[in-house]
Parts: sequence; structure tokens; C-alpha cells
Amino acid sequence: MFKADNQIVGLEIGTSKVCAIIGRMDKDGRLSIAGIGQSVSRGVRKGEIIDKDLAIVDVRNALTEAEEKWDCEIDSLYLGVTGQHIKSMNNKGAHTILSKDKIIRQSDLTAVLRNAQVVSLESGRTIIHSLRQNYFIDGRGGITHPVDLTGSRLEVGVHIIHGQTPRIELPKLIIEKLQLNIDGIVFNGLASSLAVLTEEQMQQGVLLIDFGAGTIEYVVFIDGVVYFSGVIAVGGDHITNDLALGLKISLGQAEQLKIKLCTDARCDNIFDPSNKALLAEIEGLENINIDNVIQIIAARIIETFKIIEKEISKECLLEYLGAGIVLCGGSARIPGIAKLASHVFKLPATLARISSIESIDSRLDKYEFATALGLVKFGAMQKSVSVSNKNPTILKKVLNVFKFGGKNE
Amino acid sequence: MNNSRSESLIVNIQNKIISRAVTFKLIGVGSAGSKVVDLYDKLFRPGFDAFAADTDLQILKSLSNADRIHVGMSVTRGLDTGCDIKLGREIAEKENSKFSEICGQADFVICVSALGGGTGGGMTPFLVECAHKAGAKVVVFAITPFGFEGERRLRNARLAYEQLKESADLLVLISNEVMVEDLGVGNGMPYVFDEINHIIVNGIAGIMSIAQSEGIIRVGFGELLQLLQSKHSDGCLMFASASGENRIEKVLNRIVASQLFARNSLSELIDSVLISLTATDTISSRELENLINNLKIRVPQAEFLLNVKIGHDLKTELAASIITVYNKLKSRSKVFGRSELLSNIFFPEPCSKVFGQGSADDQGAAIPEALIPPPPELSADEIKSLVNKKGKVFVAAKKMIQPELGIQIIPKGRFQNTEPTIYNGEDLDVPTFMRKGVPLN
Repeated sequence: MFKADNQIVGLEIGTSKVCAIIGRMDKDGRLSIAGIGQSVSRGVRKGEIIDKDLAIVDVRNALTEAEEKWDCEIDSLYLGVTGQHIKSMNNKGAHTILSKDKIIRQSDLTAVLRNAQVVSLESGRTIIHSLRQNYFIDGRGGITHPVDLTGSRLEVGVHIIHGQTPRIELPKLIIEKLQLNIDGIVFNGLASSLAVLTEEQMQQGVLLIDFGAGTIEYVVFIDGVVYFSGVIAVGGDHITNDLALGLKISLGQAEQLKIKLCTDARCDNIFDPSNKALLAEIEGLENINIDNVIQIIAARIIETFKIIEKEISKECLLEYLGAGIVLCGGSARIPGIAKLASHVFKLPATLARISSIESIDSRLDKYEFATALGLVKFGAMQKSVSVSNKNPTILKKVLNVFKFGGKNE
Repeated sequence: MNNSRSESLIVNIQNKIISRAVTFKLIGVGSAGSKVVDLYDKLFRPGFDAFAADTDLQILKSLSNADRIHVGMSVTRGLDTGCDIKLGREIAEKENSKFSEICGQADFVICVSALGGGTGGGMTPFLVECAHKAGAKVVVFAITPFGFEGERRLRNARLAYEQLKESADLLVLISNEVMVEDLGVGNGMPYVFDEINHIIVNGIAGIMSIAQSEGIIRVGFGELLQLLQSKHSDGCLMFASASGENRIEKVLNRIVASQLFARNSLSELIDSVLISLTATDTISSRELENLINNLKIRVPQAEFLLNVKIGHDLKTELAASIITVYNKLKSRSKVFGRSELLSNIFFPEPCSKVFGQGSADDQGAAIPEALIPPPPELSADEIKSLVNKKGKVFVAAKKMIQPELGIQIIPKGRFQNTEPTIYNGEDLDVPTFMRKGVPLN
């Protein structure tokens, strides 16, 4: 076993699985995925740890599998966090250019970013990310690089993602208990978006929905920056629970039923009435009322999408989503979910592909690995930023794509 | 001398009796209510005042029997209120003197109105208040609109219902939707409306027959009042008539098949059943026993009040008006939505949205402030006397019914003991199909 200097590990402690992915960066800064370790998650509900001991065992299993399979040693990792305690807000900071020539310098940028990050949060909350948005010079918006431009007033928006401190500290404690270091804490929704969204989609405006087992994270990118994000503590587990209660079967049977529906290759849209006969032929579903199954699943998914739509509409961002909706997470496997999303949002919806990592095994190019892969991607970007202190061109390249600010920059 | 003394005594006693005679008033509010009252006046020629109050002159002109009271001339210029319940209430408040005059001296007021319109929905609650001020017991026959008549009418009806159920002594709901189902969905609308009007008229006649102690088997007026002592009950009206040998079976079948009786969940809540029969003189005690026993099997918990009147000029041999009275407290103590059962039946789909059972947008919709009756205006002397009567002020509060909140047991499966996911007051851990009422096969 060896520990490579260029090794990046992303760990997602999810509701259904714990997933550790190991990535490596070559000399040119290109990221490749070395391996994966997985374990069933037993101590997590709705994205948050409810049984610390079980969670420690599951995390250890996943990390050990990754280490053994890929013959490496993990001593630090990027950790994904989620849960319904996570909230977001937009804030704005302003700075007056005092120099006589009115030319904006790097020091002005630092000052305006510092001002933008001054927010008043409730006690017991911690900022996870403060993501820089575009600059305004004398009220003129859409400026991405204000250095060397002239103006008397510089403003910048930041998107702040924050959560309850004890609930963020808990997964950190588990990692520390395993004698590992934490390179960074990342919001799962942001990680997923880094893994699956292309630069064009972010520029055009896109909504990413990570439909996981316990939670749904959503992130809105407009003009290449994050404008909105949030978490709903509803996921695939709720669909299973609804099926169990609706059809009066056990949770295990309901989960099996859901998996059978999701994995049957013959049907690409379970919500299409014309496919009813196909669904009835699936093994194990003969004695189940397919109409009820579809109605229960559709009711839950539509409701969830409507909640997200309502939240985004409140911020008047729907009309800016030129690239539509991208779906990832384990529940994105439900055949026809993209069509339902398209129907609710009245926007084009597609299923995610891992687009941001150049070389990836087809086994890893799956919706449910988006968060863990995104964590690796996030780590790679962090490393690029630190390398870029020596090589400014790389910094420029990274900042053109993702603008991170605040603690995690 | 002695003779003249005894004559004067008799006269005095008669005068006393006359002075103690119960005064009945029948008031129809709005166009539908006015038409019903007019029909009642035409068919039964009652010996008491029957009024039709409306803002619409055209409607009043079309009536020929009831005493017509035109209200709100300065506001609507003889037209309707345009389904504006607020306007209806304002007009009623302006015409306070007219309503007080109608209700004055009354002991028993029957009010008929359709709650969906602005006049019926807005004026009826005010009229009930006026009648109460005059010391009368009030029975309201309230017609609720069809679902397809639109959300506005249903909202009006629901608002008026919320006010009436707290103020009327007995609120008899007549749902157009339920009536149509009972009468047969395929029937033409004029026939349906005609039938509904006849059912209401017969229901009123049934109540009046009891109140006027006309029966050979009587429910006395006192007994009726005792039934209303449990104040603010909801009731539903049914009517059935038949002739021939199996007339009791026919009437019974029709009652039992009625939507309001057929639903077990509803029939469990019935507290009293008021049966007013009008029959030809061929009716036998065995037939009556048969009818009551058959009904008792279906609602064993209910108290039955039977009034039988012999009518010689009946079209059918047997006509039964049945009012099922639901005990509100009992219905509230039932679990999982029973408390809303009645109102859900009478106010179908669109209305439930308004009151927070539908989409998240509508959560927390409340009765507009303007529709909540203002506190009574008291003169300085009245306030002074109320303050001095400290002990008595609380007497009224004692009579108030403390509502019992229903305990809702909603299954959450694996999320029973986890932190709930609440969005806009809705618990998202409860299956969506249950919360949204998605029907499953």
C-alpha cells in the first residue's frame, strides 16, 4: 500500500450506501478515477447519521474495500454533507474604489468578497460554502473579472450554504474517530453538480436535482455561478415507504418491487399507460396492482418536483434555466422520471452523465455515484487552486468555470 | 252574575293562551330561498308569516304567494349581489331594522337559503343573529351548490356554513350534489331543481307539523326544542313518498339508499332522527313499527322522534320527511377526519382547497375579516350594567361548547420515529397518496 501525493478521496455517507472514490491527478492536472469502495449504509436516515456506531463500521468497510482493491492508503478525504438543516441564502457586498485612477485591483476584490461574506446567521449555524457570483461595477452587472477595469463602486454577490453546526460536526467526528483527516466539507448537491454538469449548461442556466435515497439536493446555476440551492429530506426511501403502506406489503418487498421496476430494461417510462402491459409481465409483479404502484410513485415524485419548482419560482429563476433540468442520484433510475420532471417544470429534463471527469470507467458512470465523484472533482479543483499559486494560468482556467469563495476557496 | 264572572274567566284564560301562542316565521333569503318559501306558501297555505327577502327585484316579481321584502335597493339597484357574499352581509347590516322587525316576537324561525350566492350566503348568518336577538330558535335549511358551479360559489357556501354552524340551532344541509345522486344523475335540471324544492318544502312542512303539534302521534314543540338544546347541530334532509301495498318498504328502501344514510361513516355519527310522516288514514301501527324498527337496526345509537300526521288530500299515501341530526361533539371525537366528513360531502373538491386540504398555496386561508360579525355595539348604560353583573357575564361563557380536537393517527411507516420533514405545514413523511387523497384500486 502506498499513499500517492496526487491522490484525492471523496466520501459520501449516504442514506442507502457509503461510497468512497479515489481519484488521481496527473502532472497536467487531469483527473482520473482509480477506484471505488462501497458499503451498505445502516446508520443514516434522510442523509443524516442516526446511529454513530453503525455509521463508523460502514464507513470503515467502504474505505477498507477501496484501499484493498486499489492497493492504496487513505489518510485524508473530502466529506460530503447533506440534511434538511442545510439552507442557503444570497448576500451582496460592496466596496468603494478609493484609488485616484479608479482602477480595480486584487486588493479591492479581496475587500469586496470579505464584505459579502459578512452575514448574520442564527446561532449554532456554520457556513459550509460561500460561492462567489458575478461582480457589479457602478451597478453594471455580469462582470466576471473586474481586475484592471475602472469604476468607483465594486459589488459582488455570494451564495452562502450553511447548516447546523452539531449536525455538520457529527460526520466529521466519525472520520476523526477512524484516524483520518478531512481535507474539506462539501455540500452533496454542489459536489454532484460539479460531477455531472458541463460548463455550457452552467452558463446557460441549469437546475440539478440529486434524487437520493434519503434526501433531494438541488442547485441552480445561472451564468456559470450558483444562484440557489437547497435540500428536501425526501428521497427514494419515501417512495419505498409509500409503496409499502399503499400496497400493504413489507418494506423489503416494496424495495424489491421498486428495484425491479427500475432495472427492467424493457420499459423506459413506467408512467406511460401504454407500458402497463410490459410492467405487468415483470417477474414478481404479477400479483400487484400496477396502477396503484404507478400512482403511488408518481404522486410522490410529482409532489417533490412541485416543491422544488415552487422554491425556485420564489426566486424567479425558472425562466433562466436555458439548459433545463439534469437529474442524478439513485432515484433517477426510475424509468420516466425525466419526463415527469419535464412535465412539472415545463422544461427539458435529462438524466446525468459524468461529464467533468475525462477518463471514467463505465461502471462508475452511474447516477448514484455523482456525489462521490463530485467530491473528488471538488478536491481536484482545490488542488488546482493551490498549484495555481505557482502557475496563474491554471487558476484563471478554474475560476472561469467555478467561482468559489469563502472558507473553502 | 256568576255566569258573567265565569265567562270573563274563560276569556281571560283564552287571552292568556293566545298571548302565549307560539309565533312561527318562515323566511326565504336570496332567489333560491325565496322560491322555496313561495312554493311552501302556495302548497300549504300556512297560518303564519312567510317572507321572501331578496335584492333581485325580478325574482321577487316572479313570486306570487309569499310576502316579499326587497332589500339593498340603494346598493344593487334592484339587481342581485353578483355572488358577492361581503356585499350581501353589508346590505343585511344596512337593512337591520327590516330584519329585526321580521324576527321580532318570533319564537321559532325557519330560514331557507342557498349558501352559494351573495344574498343567501351573506344575509342568512345575519338574519340568524337577528332571530336569536329576538329570542327565537332558528332552524336553517341551507342549500349547498354543485361542485361545477365554481370555486367562488363553493367558497361562499363554505364561509356561510362556517358562520351558520356556530349560530343556527339546527342547520339542515341540502346538498345539490347529493340530491342529484339520490334522484338519479341522468335527470334534466328543471326536474331536479323542482324535486329539490319539493323535498325542502316537505322538510319544512315536517318541522312545522311538529312545531304546530298537528300529528296523531306527536313530537311536541317542547320535544323539538329539547332536541335543539344541544345547540348548533348539523342535520341532513331526506324525503321519500310512496303508495300502494308495499309503501313502507318503498319509503324505507329510498331512505336507506340515500347517500347520507348509506355511508356507514356518516350514519355512525347520527345522534337523532326526526321523522315526520304524513299519511292517509289507512296507515297502520304495524307499518309504523316496521319502518322505525328497520331504521333502528341501521342506526342503533340514534334517538328516534316520530310525528305522524293524517292528511286527506295527499298525492301519495305516505310521505316521510327525515332529518338526521349529527352530534357535532361526537363527530369531533372520532379519529381521522370524521369531523370534516359532513362538510367534505357538502363542499366538494374546489372548496376543500380553499380551506387548506388541497395544495400548499392555500394553506391557512382564513375567513376574511369583513365577514366575521363585528362585536355588538353597546350603549354606555348597557356596558355599565354588564360590568355590574359580573357573575352573570360568565353565564354565557358556561354555555359555550369547548371543541374537542380530533386525534389523527396517520401512518408514517419507517419514518414514524424520525425527525419529520415538514413543508408548508404538511408532513412529507406521510405518503403523498394519502395526503392528496389519490384513489387506489
